[in-house]
Amino acid sequence: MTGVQNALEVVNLTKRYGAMAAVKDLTFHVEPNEILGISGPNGAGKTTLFDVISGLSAASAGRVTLFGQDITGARAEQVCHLGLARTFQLNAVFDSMTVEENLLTAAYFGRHGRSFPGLRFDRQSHADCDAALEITGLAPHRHRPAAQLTVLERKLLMLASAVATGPRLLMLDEPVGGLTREEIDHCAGVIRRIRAERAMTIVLIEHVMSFVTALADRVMVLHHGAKLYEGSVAGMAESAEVVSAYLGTSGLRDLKQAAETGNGGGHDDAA
Amino acid sequence: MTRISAQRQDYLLLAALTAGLALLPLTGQSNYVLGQATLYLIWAAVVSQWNLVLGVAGIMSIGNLALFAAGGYAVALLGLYHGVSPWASLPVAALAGLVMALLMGLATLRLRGAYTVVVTLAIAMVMYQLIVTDVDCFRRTPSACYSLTGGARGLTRFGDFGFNDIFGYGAAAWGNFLLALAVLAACMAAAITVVHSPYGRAFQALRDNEQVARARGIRVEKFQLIVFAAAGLFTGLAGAVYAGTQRTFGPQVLGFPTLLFLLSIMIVGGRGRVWGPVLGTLCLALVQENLTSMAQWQGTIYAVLLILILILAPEGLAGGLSRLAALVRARLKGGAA
Amino acid sequence: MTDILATTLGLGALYAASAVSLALIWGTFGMLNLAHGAFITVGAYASLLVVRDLGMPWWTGVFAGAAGGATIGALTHILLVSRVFARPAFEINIIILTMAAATIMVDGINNLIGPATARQPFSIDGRIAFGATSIAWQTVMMIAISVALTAALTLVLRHTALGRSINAVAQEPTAARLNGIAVGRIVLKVMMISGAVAGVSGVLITHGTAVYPTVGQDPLLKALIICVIGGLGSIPGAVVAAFLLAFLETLAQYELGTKWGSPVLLIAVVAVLVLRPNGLFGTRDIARN
Repeated sequence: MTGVQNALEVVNLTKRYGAMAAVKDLTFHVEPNEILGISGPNGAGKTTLFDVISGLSAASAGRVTLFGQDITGARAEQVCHLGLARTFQLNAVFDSMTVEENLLTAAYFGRHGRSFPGLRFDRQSHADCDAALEITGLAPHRHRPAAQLTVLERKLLMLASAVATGPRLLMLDEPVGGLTREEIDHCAGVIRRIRAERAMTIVLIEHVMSFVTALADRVMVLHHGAKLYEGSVAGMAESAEVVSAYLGTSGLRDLKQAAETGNGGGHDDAA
Repeated sequence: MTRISAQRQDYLLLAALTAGLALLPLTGQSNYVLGQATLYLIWAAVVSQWNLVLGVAGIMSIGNLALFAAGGYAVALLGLYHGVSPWASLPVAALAGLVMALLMGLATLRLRGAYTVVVTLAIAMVMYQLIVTDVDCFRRTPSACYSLTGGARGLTRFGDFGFNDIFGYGAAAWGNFLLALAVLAACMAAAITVVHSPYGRAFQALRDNEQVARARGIRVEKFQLIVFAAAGLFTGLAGAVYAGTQRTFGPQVLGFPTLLFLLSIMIVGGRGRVWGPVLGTLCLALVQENLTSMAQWQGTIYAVLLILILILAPEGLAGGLSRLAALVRARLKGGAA
Repeated sequence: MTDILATTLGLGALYAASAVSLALIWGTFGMLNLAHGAFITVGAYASLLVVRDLGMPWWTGVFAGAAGGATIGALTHILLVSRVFARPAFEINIIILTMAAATIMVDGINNLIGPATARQPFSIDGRIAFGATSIAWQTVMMIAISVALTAALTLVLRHTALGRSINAVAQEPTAARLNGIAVGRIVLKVMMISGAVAGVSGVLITHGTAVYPTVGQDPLLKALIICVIGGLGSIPGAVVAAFLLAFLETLAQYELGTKWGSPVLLIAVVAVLVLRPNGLFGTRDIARN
């Protein structure tokens, strides 16, 4: 160990559903201010991994540490208060609330545990809400009901609501799935800004390889709940296993193309 | 442009409405009208709390009348066996409702949807069946023998709020009316405060998406219990006022007809909307009072209303009105520009 | 003890018959039908009207019950289920709608046929000897019909094209629609089957005893309990739970007194759900990705 505390450390993590192991003995870490991209075929256990780390479902074995603090077995709300905020693959927000109400709720309950909530939202929550609106560019939509937002706006709202909880680690589950080229670029910009301005560590699951290569410092590929590859984005194309299990030849072509055109965006910002 | 917050608007509306209704006894209404109005106020109060649980927090409890019964029986039993006046029993009734609600909340804590329906219904039905089948002799008078809970016939002669003794003969009708109005006002004030506060947002969050609520730091179980507890407190109180004003309390309040009536109020008024229970009660009261010739089809009429609103206008009267208000506001703004 | 066993057997068969139809639609469409009790009542009255008022032979009652139940099931589908199926908040809405529908049906019977209690003519006399003890033909017939119903339902679900379509719709309504299955028609068929089975069980439940407008209310509660304990929508689970609960109820009635039968069951179901939120045999922990 280098002595630098890792943002996230996952050690021998296993999640079983009956006889099937969705995540198998997985070990990896994320360094502070790093962006780790997680890819892999459908059913590889990516979302299950997020669910276990964020405390929504219990690990069968293994350990998870967040900035040196053991969060294995902690409840989702505790994990949130300790500074880990995640988004969901399905565009899950609080549909019956406006954008502002969504963010106020996330800010109020997400930053720390409220043993005795007050009858009004405090100043800090309003400030967190405004900051999240600003950084995601949602400010003009403040009073719109969440149910009426476009797909892109919902994705941004999810991101904003995670940011509003004041996290140190963001975990994004397919943040740009289903978006157009331009929208993906827009999201990438927003995520870069969040990382730069908030000194944020980010883990993201994504199939869109151009997005991953543009943002991620490192990539991990999962297959059947186990690690198939971990390392640089460039090295991924070299790995015969990754190519055969996940990318395929057409995926490989896309990846190479993306690497040539949009490579290194994440690195530039980190520097 | 000065903008009054939605919460302040609601408070102002409630104050105006309460003040207006408080004048009703001065308009020389008959005791029948006041008596019916008293009942409707109580039902509106019950639904205002049930709506927090079912409408706002999305917890499928259909056993909330058990909380009402807990409050009512607290008053009736204390009055009958210990001579306690309903006034003194009010806090006990609220507490009884609270305890019952916590029980129900704990039992349904890990359950969702249809399972919650089954358990809450089961709890209310246990209460109903135990009361109805309670025929063991508990209290003997020279002519008859009464069971502890009064069985299917219910309890009577346990006292009332004594407005006739305080203000003179004939005061009972308006006294009861004002008391029921006060309880409804308190219930609505509580509901308004809650829905605009972080509590209300937490309730909404657990209805909208429980997983996201957890991931945003909301302890779901805690807020499930809080919403039940609040509803229990106020519903118990409403039960006490029912017992003290009607001077009788029986297991009928736990039966399906009452349940359906209140459910219709909630759906017609607008599920999850703070003014829904009041609007729904007003609507169903008008229907009930104008269709007395068809009394035997009453349940069917409520049911048909409920079905039509739920299928055709699921946001109910409150939703429709707020849409209308938004439209008018937009029109006015357009005209000013 | 033989008394308890004989009662359990008869009661269990009845409960199984009335619970399987509730389990069928709960399991396939996630639809809790609170009009189930009214379906049972309608079936019982259909038999009463056909046999008593039309003078048909007593055994036609069971077919009348099936027809009555199927009709009311179809109506419920056309007027209510089809309006909210596969839409947001279906689970909650259908519960509320069927509760309202039950009120309309019971009200209708009350006002059109009358609130008076009548004797269900569907019954036969005599007993059959089993060594030292004997069982009423009535009970034998009841058990036979219940077993036949449950078996038929299972066969239809497992081994027919209809059964396969039902399963497809149950698993993924949208995908089923894309695969060219007329989802609405399948739901209609299931509602009619469920109604018919509930109707027959209404005839069985009231056989030789009384028929009155709210006669279905108690069986509804029992069926709810059985379905929850048996695991959502599992028909074999419902059958096992039916006999289990019939035994528990009979035992409670013998040991604690008649009035404790129902409350003990209700308390049992609350206890089971508190301890095992997914039912005694159910699981809901499914891997996502």
